[in-house]
Amino acid sequence: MKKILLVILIALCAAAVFAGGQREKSQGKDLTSELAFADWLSAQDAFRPHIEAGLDQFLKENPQIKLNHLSWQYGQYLNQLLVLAGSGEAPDVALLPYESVPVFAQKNLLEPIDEWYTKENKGNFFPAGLKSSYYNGHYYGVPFYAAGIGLLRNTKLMAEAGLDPSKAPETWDDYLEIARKVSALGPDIYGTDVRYAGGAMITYIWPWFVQGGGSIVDDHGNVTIDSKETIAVVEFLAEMYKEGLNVPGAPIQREMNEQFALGKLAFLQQGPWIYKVLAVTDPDFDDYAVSRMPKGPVKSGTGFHAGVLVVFNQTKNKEGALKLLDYWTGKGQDYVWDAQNAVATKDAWEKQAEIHPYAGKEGFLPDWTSTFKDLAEDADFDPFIFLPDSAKISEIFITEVTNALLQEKTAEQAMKDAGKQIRSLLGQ
Amino acid sequence: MKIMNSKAIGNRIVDKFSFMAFLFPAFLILFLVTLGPIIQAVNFSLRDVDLLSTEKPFIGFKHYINLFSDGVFWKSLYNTGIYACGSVAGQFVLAFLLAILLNRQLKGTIIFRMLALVPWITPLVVVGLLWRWMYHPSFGILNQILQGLGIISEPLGWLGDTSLALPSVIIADIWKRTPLMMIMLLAGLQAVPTELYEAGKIDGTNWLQEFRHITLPSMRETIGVVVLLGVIWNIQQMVIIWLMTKGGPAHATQTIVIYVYKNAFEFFDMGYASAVGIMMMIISLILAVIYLQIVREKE
Repeated sequence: MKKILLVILIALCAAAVFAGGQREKSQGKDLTSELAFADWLSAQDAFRPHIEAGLDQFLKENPQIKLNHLSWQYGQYLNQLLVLAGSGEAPDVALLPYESVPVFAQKNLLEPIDEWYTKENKGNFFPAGLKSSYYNGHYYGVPFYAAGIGLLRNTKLMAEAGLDPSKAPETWDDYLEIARKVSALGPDIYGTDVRYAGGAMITYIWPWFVQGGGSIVDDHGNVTIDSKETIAVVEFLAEMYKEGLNVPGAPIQREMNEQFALGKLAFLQQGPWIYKVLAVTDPDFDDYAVSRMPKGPVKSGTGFHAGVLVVFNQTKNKEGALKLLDYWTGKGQDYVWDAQNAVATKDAWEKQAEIHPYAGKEGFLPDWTSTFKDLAEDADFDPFIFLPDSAKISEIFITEVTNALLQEKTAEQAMKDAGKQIRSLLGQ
Repeated sequence: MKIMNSKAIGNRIVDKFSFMAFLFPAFLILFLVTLGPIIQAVNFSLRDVDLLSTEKPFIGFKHYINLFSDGVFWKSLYNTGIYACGSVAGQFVLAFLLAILLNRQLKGTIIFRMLALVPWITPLVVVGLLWRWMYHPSFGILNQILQGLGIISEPLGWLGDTSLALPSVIIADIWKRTPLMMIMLLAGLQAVPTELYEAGKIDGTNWLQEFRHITLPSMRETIGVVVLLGVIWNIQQMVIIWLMTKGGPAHATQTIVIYVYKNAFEFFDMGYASAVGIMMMIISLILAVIYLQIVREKE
């Protein structure tokens, strides 16, 4: 009996080895018509139909291509891509948050796509979008959507506070005055949305740094986080926090949006993708207005956010991958708009500003799209994302700014500590 | 001297090898899922490795040396200690009280026992999100109750304040884990011989003396095991903290496990993450040895 079992066991092992060999052989088929595309937007119900409709249209136009669409929630998205890349199974094309493009390029995972850019199509992208796709002398990505951070205000709360709701704050002082008066309306009404939990903080706090002349590093990679301009920005933000103008705690992005949508927050710094969230509680948009961020003591400007399409260097179908880039930055931008209310190219922004100039029903916020189109032109980000260890730098920044906001340290001490840590990390 | 024929020798060899062949898959799985990763982690901790690097240069004990000057590591270690001890202490007090109550033959004890298990059977992810919602500054029930009772005038940012965040997370953990500890303590209580209590009653002991001189000494080993296991489990706890605070604000709730995760999957520094993980494993190992010692003494 034991002998029989032993023979069966050996036979099973041999069968398993043989089956593995068969699988290897089956993988040897022609892959040139196959294309894998990954994104995180499709993992959310609100965005999935639009991205899938866009991909269906692409497949109609390119019937020879067999598409494998991958999507994961954002929280696990980058790790999934890295795991796939580590096992040699990276998708051909993937959507990356703009700050991750240099990280993936540093890991030698991306295919340079300099040949995709021409003089004409290059001029169709906003400066920050192009900057975020360029690393170490090569273009590694193409913006999928790109937008600046705008300032939304709750006009109902402003009217209740005796303020003119039609007047957007033009300076930091104007902003502070409105935030104070709205905040005085009640113990659970707040003026500002300075602090977020986690990585979102850096996106939504960044407009203040742009306007105040603050930065983490300069264009040459020298640490500037402890400059007097940066310290002044953090002092301003900490002062608002100390006064209790900010939503307490550290809400995640969704919770901060909810505070604004439920009429508990005077200002919300957000991109145009906030449209769908606000439309749920106020489809007419009659409680909101949108404007540029107020001008800071140093300059005007705002923060930036983009999704960038990249081609992995493991691709066996670069031609198909570049076709997909052509599509998403051309006709596909209509579907991107439907999903995100933001697009990447100047042409697409102008088209959408004509088709959908407003937010909500026609006439309620007629300057919505044009405001965000202009902001996309002005938006900028800190060049620290191009440095090795950018994720650690981001963590140091968030930690020390939080220390200053929560009055654990003075703004000066917090930024000096941040500077010391980042210099040590970069060997400066 | 007994001489075996060739058939008997053949059978013995087949017996021996078939025995090994049947054990081999189990050993292989054990090696792959337990020992292999540990060996790999030790190997990585001595190298400069990121998640995808093909080159993994040997750097000796550099990561371990860097740990000593890494303020975030020490802060995480400190938080881990506070979290594990605070949570286990809270669990223990509550679990012991509940176990004593449920050990009595009262009406409805079975229903109460079942209800007490609800937090334990609730998935960790649900617990994390539930408590995050309860602590929400504007919509959370906790602030509403405290404001309604006039204890606080303005909503508190429970998870966003450096001094409140860690205790808040500990409370959520206590809620989740107390039932399991209660069951273990209840089992210990039920094993205490009733004759001891009867003898105590004859000697005229009151409930406090009964608890101090009979219950506690009889439960010594059980308590030791339960507390140590609780500490070991809590050191490895990640889900609740990650869902509630992701280790923030400003590292106020960052434990060693969170630090390992961040280094490995956010900073992509697998070598350093492995070194931190090995340090954590050593600490857990010391506690495990103490646990085994207690179990052996009990036996």
